[in-house]
Amino acid sequence: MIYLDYAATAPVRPHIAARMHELTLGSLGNPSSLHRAGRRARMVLEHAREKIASNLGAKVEEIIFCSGATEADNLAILGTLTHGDNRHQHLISSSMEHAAVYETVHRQSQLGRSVSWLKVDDQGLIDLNHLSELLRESPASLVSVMIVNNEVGTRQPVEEVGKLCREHGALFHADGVQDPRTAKKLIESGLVDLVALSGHKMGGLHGGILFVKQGIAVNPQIVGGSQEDGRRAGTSEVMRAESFSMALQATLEESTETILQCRKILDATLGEIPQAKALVSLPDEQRAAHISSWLFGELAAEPLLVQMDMKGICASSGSACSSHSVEPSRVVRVMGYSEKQAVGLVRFSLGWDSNAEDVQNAAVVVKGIVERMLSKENRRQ
Amino acid sequence: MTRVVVAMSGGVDSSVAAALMKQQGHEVIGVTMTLAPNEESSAHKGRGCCSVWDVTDAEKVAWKLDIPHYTFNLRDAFEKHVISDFISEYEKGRTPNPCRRCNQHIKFDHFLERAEALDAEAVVTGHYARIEKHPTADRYRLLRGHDFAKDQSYVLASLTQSQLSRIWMPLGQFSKPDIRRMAEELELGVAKKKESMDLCFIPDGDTAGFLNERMQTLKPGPILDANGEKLGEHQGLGAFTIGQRKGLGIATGKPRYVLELKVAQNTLVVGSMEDLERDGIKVDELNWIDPEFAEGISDPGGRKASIQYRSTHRGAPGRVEGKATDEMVTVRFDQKEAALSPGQAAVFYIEDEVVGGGTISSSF
Repeated sequence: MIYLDYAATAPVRPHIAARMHELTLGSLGNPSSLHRAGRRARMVLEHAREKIASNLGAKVEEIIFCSGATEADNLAILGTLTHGDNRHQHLISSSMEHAAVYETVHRQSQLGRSVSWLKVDDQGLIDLNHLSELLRESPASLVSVMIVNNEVGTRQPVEEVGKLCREHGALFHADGVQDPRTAKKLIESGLVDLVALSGHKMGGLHGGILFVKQGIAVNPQIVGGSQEDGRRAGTSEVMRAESFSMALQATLEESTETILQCRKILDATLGEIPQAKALVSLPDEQRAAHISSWLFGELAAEPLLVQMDMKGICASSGSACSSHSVEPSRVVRVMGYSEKQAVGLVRFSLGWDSNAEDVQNAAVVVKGIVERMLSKENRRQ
Repeated sequence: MTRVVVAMSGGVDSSVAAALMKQQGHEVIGVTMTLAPNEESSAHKGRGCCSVWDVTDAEKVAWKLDIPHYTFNLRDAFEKHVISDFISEYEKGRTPNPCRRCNQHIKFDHFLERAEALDAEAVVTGHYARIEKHPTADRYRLLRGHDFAKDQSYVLASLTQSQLSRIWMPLGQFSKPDIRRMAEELELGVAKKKESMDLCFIPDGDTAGFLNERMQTLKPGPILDANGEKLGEHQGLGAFTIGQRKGLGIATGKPRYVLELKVAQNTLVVGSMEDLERDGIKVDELNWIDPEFAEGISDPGGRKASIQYRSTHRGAPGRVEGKATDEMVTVRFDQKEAALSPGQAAVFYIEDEVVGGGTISSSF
C-alpha cells in the first residue's frame, strides 16, 4: 500500500503509539480526581498543554482541548458570537473553508445572522480588497479564513488578513489544520485570535485544540462540567492531549523538504498527461507543500480512486462525505470550474512518512490508470 | 478469475449474492449506490434502502467476505430519472413504478457503466430472477425466479439484450428461505434484517406527504361516481391509484374503488368492482426480449401470453396484438381484469420467460 492521503489522516507516528501504549497501562485516573491516579492523569494533561503552548508561542490558558478541529472551529465561531463580552456580531468567511467552518457560518446565516462571503479567484485565493471593504462596512466582525485549504492546498494570505482585522478591530479565526507551521507563526505574530488544529493530521491520535487569545471570551458549546476552564465540558482526554503535543512537536521539528520533493516528483509525472490540470499553480510560498490536486480531463474521480485503491494506492477526492461517496466539490466550483469538473477532483497528499521512491512508483501507476481511462472515454465518444 | 461488481444494498439478498460470487472464485468488488436525496439525517424517519446505515451494513458484509467495497453516488441521476418521473407521473394521473425506472435508468444504465469503468465483466444483483443464454438462438433469456412468490422479473422487463449479456442474477434459482439460511450459515450480520417494503426515497412510507411536499398542483377537487354524481371531496389527486379502495374518505353502502383520475378537471372518479373491469390495455414504451414472439404478434389473433400488470399480480391469460415495430400494442385479456393502472408495467410471459413488455398507456 502506498498512502497518499495525509490531508485526511496521517498514520500514527511510532513513538506516539509507544507512548500511548505506556499511558494506557499506566493506571491513569480521571484528571479531575483528587487522588494520586487523578493527579498523575492531570499532570500528563497539563504538561501536554504546556508543551503545546510553548511550541505555538502561546500561554497555557490559551489552549482548549477539543474532540477534534471540527469542534474547535465550531467553538471558535459559535463560542465567540454568543458571548456577551464580545461585540462582534457580523460574520465574514469564504466558500473555500472546510465544512467545519463553512457549514457553521452557513447555518448562522440561515438563522438570520448577517454574513458576508469573500470573493475568491481561480487559484482559491480570497480577495483582500473585498475583505478590506467589508471590514470598513462592518468592523465588528468575526473573520474566519483558513490557512491552507484542505482540498487544493492554496495558502491564504493570513498575515494580511490578520493585519486588516487588527486595523478594524475585528476578530480573526483561522482553521490551521493543514498547516500547523504557519499557524505557529501567526500565533507568534499576535495577529490571530482563534486557531483550530487537529492531531490526526500530524501523525497523532484524533483530537484537536482551539487556541483562544487571552482576553477573548468563548461560551462553551458543550456543557456539563467545568473542565477546560469552563469552556469545554467533558472528562479531559489525557491520551489525546499527550498525543497532540507529541505530534505537534514532531511536525514543527521536521522540515518540509522531503514532502516538497515528493510532491514535485508526483506533479512532474502527472503533468505529462496532456489532459491533466493541476488545480493550483501558485508559487511555493502560497501553497502547501503536501497537497497536489488534479482534474483529469472530464473523468470523474470515483472510478479513478477505486482503480487506484485496487492497486493499493490511497488517495481521495477532497472532502469525504458521510457515506464516503464522491460529492461535487464546492471548492472546485468556487474556483470557477463546472459542475462536471467538480466531481473530478483527485487529491494526493503527503506527510511525515512519505518517501520519494514510493511516490514515484505510485505516480507511474496513477498515470497509467488515468491514461487508460481517458482513452476508454475517448473511444466511447 | 472474472472480475465482477456486486450491487450491494446492505440487505440480505445482495449480501448473499456477493458471498456466492466469492465462493465461485470470482474477483468480487462490492458497490453500494447512494440514491435517495441526501437529508441531514433521516434516522428519525426510519431507514430507507440507501441510508448511511445500509451502506455500513453492506460494508460490514464486504469486510467479512474480504472483498473491497465502494460507494457510488448516483443521487443526481436518481433524482432526474426516478424521483422527478415519479412526481410527474402522479401529476399526469398515472401510477408510476419507480423500482422499474430505477432498474432501467440507474442500476442497469449508470451503474453498469460505472462497473465497466472498473473493468468488471459483469454486474451481479440480488434480484430473484434468472438470466440465461438461449440454448439455440444468439440471445439471452430473462426468466422468473424459482421462488415464484419472490420473483422480480416484472421490474426487469425493460432490460435489453446488451444489458442482459452483462448481468448475473445468482439468486434466481433459490428461494428466500434458502437465502436467509445461507446468510445465517455465513454469519452475515444482515441475515435477519427486515425486508424493505417502502420506496427507498420515502422511508417513512408517507407517499402522500412526500407528494404534497414536492407537487405544486395539489388542490382539493370533487369525487364523482361513474354517473357524475358528487360523493365527496379529495384533498389533491396526489397519491391515488386506480383500484385503490382505502383512504377515499367517502361513506357509501358498498365498497368504492378509484376508477379514473381526471387530471384536467382535478376530479376523482370512483365506482364498484365491476366498473373497474376492463377487456384490455394499450401498451407503449415496448421492449422485446424474445424477437420471435414479437414477430408473432402480427399473426391473426396475435400471440397468446400471460400478462402481468402489477408487481404483486402473477399474470392473466390474454393475447398481444400489433406489430413488432409498432410503438404501441394491444393486449386483450381472455377474461375481464380489474385495476389496470396507466404508468404501470405490462409484462408478457410465456410460461416462466419474459418475452417482452412495456408501460400501460390506457385501458378499454
